[in-house]
Amino acid sequence: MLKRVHYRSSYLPYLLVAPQIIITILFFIWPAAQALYQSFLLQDAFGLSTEFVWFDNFIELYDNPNYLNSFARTGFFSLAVASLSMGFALFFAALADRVIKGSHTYRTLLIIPYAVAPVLAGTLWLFLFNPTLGIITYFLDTFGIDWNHKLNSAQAMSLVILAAAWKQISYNFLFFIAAMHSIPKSLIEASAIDGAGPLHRFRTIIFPLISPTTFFLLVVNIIYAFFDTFGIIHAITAGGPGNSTEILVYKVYNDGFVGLDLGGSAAQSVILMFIVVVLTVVQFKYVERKVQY
Amino acid sequence: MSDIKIEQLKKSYQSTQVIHGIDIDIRDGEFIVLVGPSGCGKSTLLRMVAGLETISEGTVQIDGAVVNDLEPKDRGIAMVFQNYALYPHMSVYDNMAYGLKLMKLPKAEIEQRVQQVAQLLQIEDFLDRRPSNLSGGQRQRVAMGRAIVRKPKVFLFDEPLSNLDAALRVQMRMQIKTLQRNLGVTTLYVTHDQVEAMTMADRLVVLKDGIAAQIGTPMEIYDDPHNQFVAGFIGSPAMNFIDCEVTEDHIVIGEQRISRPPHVNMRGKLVLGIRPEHFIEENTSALEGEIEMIEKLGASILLYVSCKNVSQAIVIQCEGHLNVNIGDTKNISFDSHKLYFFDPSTQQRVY
Ligand SMILES: Nc1ncnc2c1ncn2[C@@H]1O[C@H](COP(=O)(O)OP(=O)(O)O)[C@@H](O)[C@H]1O
Ligand SMILES: [Mg+2]
Repeated sequence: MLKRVHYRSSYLPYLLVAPQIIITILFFIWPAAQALYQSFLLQDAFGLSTEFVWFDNFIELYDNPNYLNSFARTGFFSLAVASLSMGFALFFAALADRVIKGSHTYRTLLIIPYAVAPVLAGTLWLFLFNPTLGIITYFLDTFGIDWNHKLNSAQAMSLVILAAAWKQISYNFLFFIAAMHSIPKSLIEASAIDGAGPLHRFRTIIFPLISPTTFFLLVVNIIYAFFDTFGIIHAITAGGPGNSTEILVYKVYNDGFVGLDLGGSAAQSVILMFIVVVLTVVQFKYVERKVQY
Repeated sequence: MSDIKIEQLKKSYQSTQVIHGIDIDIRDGEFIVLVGPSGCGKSTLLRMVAGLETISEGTVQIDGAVVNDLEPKDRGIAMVFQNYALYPHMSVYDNMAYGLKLMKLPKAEIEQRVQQVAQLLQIEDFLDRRPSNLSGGQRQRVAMGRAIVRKPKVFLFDEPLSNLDAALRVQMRMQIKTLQRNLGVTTLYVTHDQVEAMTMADRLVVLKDGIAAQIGTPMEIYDDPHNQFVAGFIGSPAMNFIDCEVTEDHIVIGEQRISRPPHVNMRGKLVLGIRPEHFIEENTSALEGEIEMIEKLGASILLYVSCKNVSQAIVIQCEGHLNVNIGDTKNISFDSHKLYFFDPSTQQRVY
């Protein structure tokens, strides 16, 4: 039972939540409302005339193959980022769970990428894979692979996926390791007595028991790939070559601030907003249900 | 079926030693209870036998073979944990079948074994349920079932009843004991509850700070404790310890004296031990004290009697309908053949 605390004065609680409310209104509600409003407008590139067009911007998006392609691309991108980074994180966490000596160092090292800003992460990978100077490019060359993500769209896509996934490994790792730690040690011991080796134990005991965390991370990672990878893509490929790495959030920026189609761009961002709302609701529903065995 | 031989077993964590060389010989089919206060090393000892904890020094033999370096699964043991350690995401059936599947037994045999054990433990109605949908007692039985289906050579129990309420604990204690006798499997059972220890054990190992203070049958340990710790730990309510001085003619307790029974042939400052149930209603060679507190247990009644210049109240167990009040003066008489004497410096029993 939660205990209710009663304040005698009625304004104190409002005062306490005011900063949070103001920030939310200023940086979330207000821009979101603006975007929603913008999405119904058609404006010429110089901002001289504005016309209220109802759902025209949305209908146009629906008919635009470029946009639909970007949609599919984003789906592929986020699934690839989520599975790659979660896969690695799970692997590292499973190993870290068994490490006894130096586990502290090992964990610290794994958590560092989380502190790197997205643009820096992008730049870092850009250096490694620079077509002329990059060290990894050099090694790939010795294996006969010609790396140039500025020309090759498949390579460009792989690179942004790699960079985006790399940055998210730390976050996933933390959650996985916490989930593994919360499994009672006696369960692992019981399975050892029952004769399960480490792999079998992982597959039949550990993995099923951390599945709530896995689901949570899946949603978080998809949201991450949808929205927070802007900086990485901007630094590495800027959406190119062609439109091959232009995911939805990047297209919002491109169409709005480069192409100056503010109405269309706003419509896109409204759709993105809708997607994130749905994902969040799904997640909350699930978290609320609290998987209990 | 098999015997266990534990020789000079030691365990250290980094620099701290927690088990200081323990020897136990366990015969085939015996029910051995490791009992001692919390933190004395019971679980550690058990887990070394299970193979869940490495052995620092000494050997554990099961069936004549040293198992020090064997994996838990290769030792032929099954263990019941205090929190039961049931796999929460599996049905009761799958919990019990988990180890059997890993033994690569044919499906029909797994089915048959699980059904048989489920019947034995009266859990056949819950086989499809998840552990979270069972009561504490049912979970306890499932944990037992998971141990039994493996047909182990040795059962290991680590405080399996301490999460149950008192009534269920008494009931399960009998069931486990009966089951063990019927199956005839050698058993090591850890508990901190001396009543559980007394009622279940064929033989007890009383542990204190990583040392086996005494090993013997419950009655041997009750009648003949080797030191003050064992005397105080085994028996309920606990034995009274009273500082005294034995002189040529008397035993001096506080400011009073009683005549020395002729067979008490020690002299000097000693600790007198007497169990609450060994006082008698008689006025010969009596001490006098004032009743400080009364605990009515129904069948019996416990009197806490304070004597002048004796630091602790003396606990006396009397017949349940005794009519006494707080503040009454009480005559205390001993059965002089049931007195124990301990050396106050070594705590060893001297008489
Ligand atoms: N992993 C460990 N590292 C250091 N000390 C430990 C460890 N496990 C247990 N101990 C110590 O060993 C002693 C015995 O513990 P344990 O066998 O669990 O006691 P019991 O089961 O009798 O309550 C305790 O003093 C405990 O603090
Ligand atoms: Mg313990």
